[in-house]
Amino acid sequence: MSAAPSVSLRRPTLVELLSATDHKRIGLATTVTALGFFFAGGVLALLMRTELAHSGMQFLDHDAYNQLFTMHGTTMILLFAPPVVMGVATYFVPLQLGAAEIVWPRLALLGYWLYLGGALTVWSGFLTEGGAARWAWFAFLPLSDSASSPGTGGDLWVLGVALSQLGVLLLGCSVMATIVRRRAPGMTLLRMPLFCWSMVATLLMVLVAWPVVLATMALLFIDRNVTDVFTVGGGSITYQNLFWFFAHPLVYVIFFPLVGAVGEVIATFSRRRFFGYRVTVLSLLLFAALSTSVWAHHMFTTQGVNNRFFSLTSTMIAIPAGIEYFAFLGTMWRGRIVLRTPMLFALGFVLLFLIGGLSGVFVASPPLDYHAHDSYVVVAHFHYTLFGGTVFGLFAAIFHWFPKVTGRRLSEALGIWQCALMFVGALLTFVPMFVLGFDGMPRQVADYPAFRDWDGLNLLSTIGAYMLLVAFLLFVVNVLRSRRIGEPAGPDPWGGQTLEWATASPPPRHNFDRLPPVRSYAPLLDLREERSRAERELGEAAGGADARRAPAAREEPAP
Amino acid sequence: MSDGVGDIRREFTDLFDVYWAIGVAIWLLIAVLVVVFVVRYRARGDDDAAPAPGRSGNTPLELTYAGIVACIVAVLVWLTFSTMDDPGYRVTAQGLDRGEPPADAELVDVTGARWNWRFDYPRHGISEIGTDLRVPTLTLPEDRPVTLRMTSLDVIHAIWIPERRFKQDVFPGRTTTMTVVFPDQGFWRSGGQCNQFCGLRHAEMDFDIRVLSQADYDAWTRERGR
Ligand code: HEM
Ligand SMILES: [Cu+2]
Ligand SMILES: [Cu+2]
Repeated sequence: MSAAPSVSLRRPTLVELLSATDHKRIGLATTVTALGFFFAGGVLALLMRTELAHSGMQFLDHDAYNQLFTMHGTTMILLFAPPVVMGVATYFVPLQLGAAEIVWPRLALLGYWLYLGGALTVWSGFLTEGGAARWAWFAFLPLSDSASSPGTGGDLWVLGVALSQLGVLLLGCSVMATIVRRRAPGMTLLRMPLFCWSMVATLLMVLVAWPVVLATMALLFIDRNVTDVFTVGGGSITYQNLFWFFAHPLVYVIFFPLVGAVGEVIATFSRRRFFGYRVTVLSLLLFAALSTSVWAHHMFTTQGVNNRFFSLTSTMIAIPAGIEYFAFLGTMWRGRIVLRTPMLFALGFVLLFLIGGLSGVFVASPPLDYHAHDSYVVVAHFHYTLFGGTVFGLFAAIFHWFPKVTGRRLSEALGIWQCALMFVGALLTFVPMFVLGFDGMPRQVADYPAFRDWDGLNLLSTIGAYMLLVAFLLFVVNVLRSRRIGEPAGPDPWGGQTLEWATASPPPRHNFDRLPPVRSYAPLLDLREERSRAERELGEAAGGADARRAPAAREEPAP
Repeated sequence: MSDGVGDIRREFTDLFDVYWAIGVAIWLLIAVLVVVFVVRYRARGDDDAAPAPGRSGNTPLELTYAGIVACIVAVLVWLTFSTMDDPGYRVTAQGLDRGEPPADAELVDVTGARWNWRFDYPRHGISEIGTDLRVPTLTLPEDRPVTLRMTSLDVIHAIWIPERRFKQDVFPGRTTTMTVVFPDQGFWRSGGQCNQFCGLRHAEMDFDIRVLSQADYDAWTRERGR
């Protein structure tokens, strides 16, 4: 091995970090920036939850609250989640492919800058005289037109959303091109790691849906500032169709990559090959295709769409999702499960996302959605997909890959506490919302009347939200601790299965000095299996008694 | 309860019970499997790093399983569609849901405007509107379909009546309709609420609902009407 790793062990300066064309720097910058916005969006959520803990207005007024939920939603779902998955992918897809670098690194860098600039533009609305946008994260017309919502904060929102999502699109193009063109020798499409496949499905959706949001934001901007684009009657339905055509694939874009990452974590910590690889890949592609035909399940109450059609397509989503769950469980079955922190978060993902998925089937039924739509039932449902899914999956990925990125381990003890707090916190915060919504509590309200008896459940939910805050602070402490005194991780602290574990931690500038042969989607596992087969043969040659004690001796005949 | 009108709340509950039971059963099943697998297949200290034997898949098994999931989906979709064909929904949900308001339904024209509601009873010359101090009251006859013809003067609003488990959006420049049937008399404070975010005081855009016997309703329309 050459001395290459020592180069990147030096801490990069901020300027280097933000101008480098190394995919690892771009990926890391994007991920860290997105986590910053996650924290900011979380603070807004805490402010909302504090106001909602009791009936009556305590410390916010309606106008402030309306800005808060708009900016919380926008920040989390547009400025945190899509960028964070692009950041992780920009870092890890080339490594998993055995590539030295990303294709079109300058495009990716531009994508990062557009994202950062756009996100700051959205947030700068808070500094304007009229405050930030206050029209919910979906900015329905005509509420978002210049007559109903005048003010610069709104224009900054439109502009910032467009810029940041253009950034996401450019990052995505660069990752997609890398997958097409930079796979290591021997890595056929069906030997790509699951995470890379989940990114293929994700990026297909990005390529279809993101141009639509750019166009929609352009039209909204013209409508606000130049001339009416959307007419009063049908125009508001057209806007909703355009918006959800983007925003439904969006919610899968921020979920799929975590299915891939969690799948790899489960395989790694079950010490076996991911079960059902081919069918899972197929199901992801099917899922992506279906994602473009379900958007109007957000519009069941508009009398402007065919509810039966969209109910059918939306419920069918359960089929590919079910296949993925089968694969997760099939991987654990008869594995050797090692409960390290990444695996704990992965199991949290499996259990909590499931609540979101099953309640999703529920709201895909128009008669049920007529009640649940725009109530706290829906808020609970999508937080189980976004928090239970995206955030738990993200932490599984972060705990899994942190040693690779920094060369140091995180504390397992702190990680276990964080995971436990997050799990309990997620139940405590969002389960009461199901009950409240069912009982008639609408979303997007700063207050509710005392006579409803909703105080107790709301207080529980607020307590849960503060537990989540403590969990994130533990994570911050964990990272800081690891930078100071974390043990060195070595190239492969977990017994990884894919190529990123075949190089130093952190990887040198061009990633690999030497690539192992790629004969399946788990090349490092292949090597390990070969080794234990060899050991067993050696053991058999040496005498039967020894062989029976060696773990590999329990191996079944390969199919 | 008059025949053929249907009780949408009961139909909602019937459908909900099925979805809820299936959902809880699936969640418990998977949660139990996860726990059992973790306990049963937990690595013992010494063979921590050794690979477990693993197959890359079992396609016939997985496709069979996918078929089972598809059957559950088919059952749910069928239940949903047949609920939408039930009398309650045929009466209540209109537009592309293909329901029709009954010909003898009472009629109320609903106008939403930030942040208040107006209810006009065209057949009786009654107009009810809220003030800054008092939310309006929607007065309805018991056990009789009442069609709300709804429109908005500014942005999108929506009417949600949680007691009836139903809501519908209210647009500017468009008319949407829903038909409500309250089987019993009663009074629901803030029983209807705006359910599409519409700006500053959206949270307070409620109305009360009062359901009277047909005789009381007739008396009320005579008294209030011109
Ligand atoms: C950190 C813990 C979180 C808490 C305590 C929380 C809390 C809330 C609450 C109380 C609302 C409802 C506001 C209302 O309708 O009045 C809300 C809305 C929302 N949340 Fe969260 N949330 C959290 C995390 C997330 C995450 C991780 C995401 C996405 C990745 C997310 C996305 C959204 C969206 C899209 C909305 C809808 C905003 C709107 O109506 O415009 N939240 N959240
Ligand atoms: Cu309204
Ligand atoms: Cu409203």
